[in-house]
Formats: sequence, structure tokens, C-alpha cells
Amino acid sequence: MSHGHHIIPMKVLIKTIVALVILTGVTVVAALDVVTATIGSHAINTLIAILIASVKAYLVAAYFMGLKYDSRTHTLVLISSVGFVILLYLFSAIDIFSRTPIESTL
Amino acid sequence: MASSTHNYLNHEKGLWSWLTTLDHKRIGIMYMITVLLFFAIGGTFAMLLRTELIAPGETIFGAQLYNQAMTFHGAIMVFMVIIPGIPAFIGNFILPLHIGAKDVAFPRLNLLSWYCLIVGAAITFVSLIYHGSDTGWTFYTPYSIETDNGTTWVVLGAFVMGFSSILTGVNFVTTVHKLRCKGMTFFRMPLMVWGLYSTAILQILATPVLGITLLLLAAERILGVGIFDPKLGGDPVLFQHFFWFYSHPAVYIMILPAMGIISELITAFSRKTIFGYRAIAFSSIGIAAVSFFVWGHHMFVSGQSELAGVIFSLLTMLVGVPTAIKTFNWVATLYKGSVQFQSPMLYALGFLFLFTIGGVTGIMLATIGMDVHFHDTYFVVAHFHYVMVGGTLMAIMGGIYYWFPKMFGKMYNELAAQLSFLFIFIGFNVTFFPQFVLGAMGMPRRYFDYLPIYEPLNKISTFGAYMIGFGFLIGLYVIIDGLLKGPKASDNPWGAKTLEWQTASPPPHENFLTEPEVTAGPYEYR
Amino acid sequence: MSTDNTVTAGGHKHAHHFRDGLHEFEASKFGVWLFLATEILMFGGLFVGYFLYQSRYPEMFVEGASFLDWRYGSVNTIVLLISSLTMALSIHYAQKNNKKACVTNLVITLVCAGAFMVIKYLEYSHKFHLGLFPGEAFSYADAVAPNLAMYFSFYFLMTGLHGSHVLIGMGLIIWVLIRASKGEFNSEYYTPLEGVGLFWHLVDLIWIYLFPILYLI
Repeated sequence: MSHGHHIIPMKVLIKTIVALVILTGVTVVAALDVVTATIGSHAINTLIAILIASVKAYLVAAYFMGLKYDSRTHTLVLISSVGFVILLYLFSAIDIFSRTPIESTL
Repeated sequence: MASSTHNYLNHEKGLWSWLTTLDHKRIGIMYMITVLLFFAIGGTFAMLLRTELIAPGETIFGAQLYNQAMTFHGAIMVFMVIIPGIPAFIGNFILPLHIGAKDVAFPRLNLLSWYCLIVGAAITFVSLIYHGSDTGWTFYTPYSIETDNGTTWVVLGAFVMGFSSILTGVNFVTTVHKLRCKGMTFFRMPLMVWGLYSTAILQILATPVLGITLLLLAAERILGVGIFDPKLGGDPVLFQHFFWFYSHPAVYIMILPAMGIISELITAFSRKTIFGYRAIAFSSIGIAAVSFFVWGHHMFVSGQSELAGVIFSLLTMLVGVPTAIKTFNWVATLYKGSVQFQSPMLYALGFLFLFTIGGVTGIMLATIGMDVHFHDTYFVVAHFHYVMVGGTLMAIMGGIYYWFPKMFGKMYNELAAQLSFLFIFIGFNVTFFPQFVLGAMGMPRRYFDYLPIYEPLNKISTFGAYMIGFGFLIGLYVIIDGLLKGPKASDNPWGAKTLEWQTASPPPHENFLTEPEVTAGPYEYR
Repeated sequence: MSTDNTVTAGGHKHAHHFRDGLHEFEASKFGVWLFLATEILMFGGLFVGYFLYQSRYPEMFVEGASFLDWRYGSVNTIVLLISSLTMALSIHYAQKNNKKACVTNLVITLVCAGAFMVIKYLEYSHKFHLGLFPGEAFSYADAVAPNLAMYFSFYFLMTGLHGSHVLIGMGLIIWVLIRASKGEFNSEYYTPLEGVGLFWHLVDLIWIYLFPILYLI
């Protein structure tokens, strides 16, 4: 599965940085108090921040790191590593959030 | 074929040529020497522990020294012997040969991985100046934060050794993907390679989490950052989640390459193709995958929630399935095979027996109700020694004897090797089977002292430990005698079919005189 | 886009166990990605810890975040994003045999990295001034949450580990900068540049997540 020396076009790189800067602005605006108040929930706010960050991460990975032009195995490596981080979170969270508090008898 | 004239051993001369080598075969031999040395040290600690436990009360030392000795026994065996043992020693030597390559993908990283092991081990041993560590190799918080000794050194040493494992993993995955020779499709690779490949994936995905866990522990000890400290609202059980997220896959890092060796030995010494090649190959990947979902079975009584416990228990049962598939397939390979009982095969057969006991007792421990009784008793100690010693160590010994002629171009004394096996195998059972009973009777682990009722079985166990020690001394003699005075070995003394046997013993620097081209599977005996 | 046999136009000899320079390049890239996976898992552990505790002590985390200035964080984010662009550009120009542009972009990348560290230094000194230290040294007296120290444990551990990777990245960039200025990279061979680039983008990726969860929560 040889992909050779693919040169990422200048136009693509420029469009990517522009998108990234704009998204950074969106992230900041979305976190402003007035917006947070409108949304209401702190958790939703966090989720939105993570989602926007993920779009930025996708752009960096796909275009700056060249994943879009690379062997799909590389993308699998990236996705798997993130997947296993989520796994660590998931099972630890299942434990922590399903613990029943016990009154101390001491 | 002029095999003894020009080979990797005499390709260059002098200690410096070894310390700066980029040849995977030489790096494998360097790992062999260091791993066996660490095994001797870890084994000495084991003998000290068993000697203390021959009678209740203080025999040779008390609680403090016992705790330090048992921590070092565990840390050395886990980080310096069993984890690097097969991948970095045997794997490094054999993997490129098995796929018809000239070297691993990144020879310089390979050398670096060896230095990481050495430096990490040195850092660990420096801790002895500060009374080492007494936490057990699992470093549970909050005790590991508070204990006033060299624990930080041990933890940082383990961190550096983790890099050794990661580099080996990165190297092996890339090697398998990119350096297979012509005609070597994935399903024509020896099962040893499947074992090493699955292991390498685990090394890449799991070890970094250990890395951050150890860093956090060091930060807690040095800076007092308190992420696991209840006084600051931290959760000590979270340490265990982080720790076992690595350490459970770690035990599969220990066993998967061993299973790879067993596949090689069983097929070669039955002179019959392996039964169920694809099943064994996929089960290696399957075991690696499932191993990430079961870590909480080390934490059933730690304060983990019942729901989490039940989930982990069910998933743990699952991992027995691919493991059993392998075992059935190995036995099926023996059936109607032309079985030769030379020492490598004795170790393989020993593995089948001992690993099965170890595996089945693992399923017992996966059952929460039973684990509540067995946790932190000698039942657990017996279980993991059956799988790690009865499993991995048996495979290492079998692999050493099997590949000894290939690595050194000499044959060892078969009779002495069989004698060594006998003492190790029998001694092992004498040492560890009573420990199942002791655990069921309630004897706790990691204690220097115990109630008089446990004394008889402890005496038997200690006697067995001395048998094992004696067996390994004979084994050491076999290896040294073979190296110094062994008769010249042919290129293929076992008549095996994998690629390493199609080149000289010892192999030339470039492994093969011409690049091999593969047109069939690895075990075409009939 | 030609594959070479032994020696490329720029004089690079591929290692003996690879078929050709392209084979070596592909293997090296794959190896770097595998290494990046380990970095993601290492940092991931810190993120997991952060999120688990943030659910438990939401107000404490908000209080901690109030000490962070989103303007510094935003500037740092832009700085790193630009450095990622210039890093990608340096590879782009190496592939086009434009040594001068390649070197220039590496220099800009280095400068951006330096700027990031300067801003980090300013942020850290401001916090130390207030007594906001990691761990036992935490001495801020007016905390509302009794365990506010934990927020700063995470803050310093996560930004510290990230910052150390910025420093390592700067070292790597200097290394390839020297090699590039010596003319060692060209359209046939720029493997170290690619590898350092991937590492640098990862450093950027981690900050892309650190920024919102630390500064904007």
C-alpha cells in the first residue's frame, strides 16, 4: 500500500489554517458567559467545547498531518488510541458513578 | 554451507561492537544475558521469601525486610524478566528470521530499548540505598504515597523500563507490517509472529497508561499533588483503575509470546502441521483485544461498585474462550503426530498442563463470590505463578533450548536439560500447588508471618522452591556447558519448517544469503 | 515521484533492510504514528482523571478556571496553530526542493514554539505570585472550595507535561533545522522532517483540547 511522497497543496494548507483560526474564535465565543447562560447546562457547554475541539483536531490530523492522503492504517492507529482512552474513562466512570454511598458508622 | 565461518557472532569483534550493535540478533543475545541475570536476582529474592516462610514468626527477617524483598521479587520479575523476556530476547532474535527480513524496522530504536531496560533497572536498584520499596509491585495508594523509602526510585525505574517495552512494540508492529519477505502473507507467518504482533499492540496501547500512572505517583510523592489522596478529595481506587488498565494487558504481554513459542514447539516436535492455524492466529488478536476490558477483576473488593464488578467479571470469563481454543488446538496437533520428547517439547507439554491449571483457577477468581474469599490470599499467588512461571517461564525455557543451536551453532547436553526440566517441573508443583490450598484455608499473601495451622503446607512449598532453584542451576550449567563445549549444531537439527531453520546456525549477519521467497504455510510437515 | 534504488538524488542511503528509500519512508511514518498513539494514551490518562474529578467537583473546577486568562490561552492556541502551518509548509517546501523556504518555515515554527513557552512562563509566574502551586506548596488562602489545590494539580501536571513536550519539540525542530540548512533534505528524502512534523502536530492537537477544558470551562 504505497502512497509515495504526496505533496499537500498550498491551497489546502491555507484553507485549513483559516478554518482553524475561525473555529478557535467560535470556541471562545461559545464559552462566553452570555452564551453559557443561554445554554444553561455546564455539561452541555463542555460537550460543545469538546466537539469544536474535535473538528479542529480533525483538520490538523487530516490536512496538516496528511492522514487524508495516507494509508488508512495510520487513521486506524489514531482512532484506536483515542478509543482506548475513552475505554479507560468509560469503565472507571461506570465504577465511580454507580457507587452507593454508605454512611460511616465511625 | 559454511556455517561456522562467517556469522553474526564473529561479524565484528569486541565489547564495543556489541554495545553499539544494530543487529537484532546481537541485541536479542544482549537481552538474553540481562534478562537471565535479572531472573537470577529476582529468583534469589524468591528464595529469601520462601526461606522466611518455612516457619511462622521471624525466621531470617521480619516484616519490614520481608515487604521490601517481596516488592523487589515482584518488580524485578514483572518489569525486568517476564515482560521483556520473550519479546525482547527471543522475539528480537527470531522475528526478522521468521518473516524473511534482514532486521527489524528500526534497529537503532531496538538498541535504545535495551539501554532503556538497563538504565531503568539501574534506577530501580539505586532505590536499595533508601531501603527500596515495601509497597508490593502494585504500588497501591495511599500507602505508596506515604511510605518513606526509595519507592520514588523504583517507580521512576519502572517508568524508564516502560519505554523499553514501548519501543519494542513500535518496532515489532512496523516490522510485521512492512518487512515481510516475498510471498509471506499474514496467514503464512509463523504463529510465533502472530503472538509477538498481538503482544506488540498491547505494548503500544497499554504501557503509556502505566507511564502516566507512575508519573502521577511520583508527583504525589515529590510534590504532593494529591490526585489519589483522599485528604484532597482524591480517589485511591482511581489509582487502581489506572494501574490495572496497563497491568492486566501486561499479563497478556507476558503470555501471548509464550503461546507463540508453544505453537512452534508443538508443531515442530509432533512433526505435524498445527491444528487450526487461523483460529490460533485470531485468538491471539482476540485475547489482546479482550484483555483491555477486564482489569477490574483485580479490584472486586477494593471499593469498586458492584455494577462495575459484575461487568468486569462477565468480560473476564470471555477471555477464557480464545485461550481455551488455543489449548484445544495444541492438543489436537499432538493427536496422531509423531511426538518427540526432547527437552523443548517437555517444556511445551509442561506448559499445557501448568497453564491449564493456572487458567482455570483464573476463571475461579473471575467469579466475584469466590474472589471475595480468595482475594489477597495465597490462592491468587498460586494462580499467577501457575500462569507466569508454569506458562511463560516454561515457554522461555523451551524456546531457549529449541533455538539454542540456531543462536549459537552448538548443541547442549540433552540429558542434563531433561534433568533440569524434571526438577523445575516437579519442584514447581511442590511449591505452588499447596498454595492453592493455603489460600482456600485463608492464608493472606504478602505477610512474613502466619498462623501455625499453615505451617506444614508452607514447609512443603519452601522445599519445592529449593527444588526449582536447583533445577535452574542445572539449567544454567546446561547453557554454559553448551556455549563452551557443545558439539557443533547443524543448520536444522530439529527438522523444522520455519524460515530460521533454512539459514545457517548461527545465521550470517544479513540473516539470509538470498532473500527468501515463500510459497506455502510455515508448518508443511506432511 | 520516483522510487530510488540505493542512493537518492540528495545522497541519502536507505538502510539495508529496506527495499528502497520509499519503503524506508513509509515504515518510518508508520512507526512515528505508533509512537504518537502512545503519547495520546499517556496524555489521555490525565484527561480521564480530569473529567472524572470535574464531574465530582464541578464548582471547584470552575473556581480554579477563573484564575486562568482566556486571552493568554487563545493567543497560545493561535500561536501553536500557526506553528503547525509553518511546520507543514517546511515539509511542503522540502518536497519541492526549496531549501530556503523550508528553513525559513522551520525558523518560524521554532519562534512560535518559543513564544508559546514565554506566554506559559508569564502565566505560571502570575499563578505562583498568588500562591497557586501544585501539590503541597499550594498556599492560596482565599479559596472557596476546600480542595482547590486539586484543580491546580491538574492544571500544572497537564500544562507541564504538554510544555515539556513543546520543549522536546523545539529540540527536535532545531535538529532538523540544522540538517535542512545543510541541504540534507530534498524531494526524495525528508523523513526526519516528516517525523518531527507529525510529533509537532500532536503537540498542537493536545493543546487544542487542553485550551477549552482548562480555560473555557
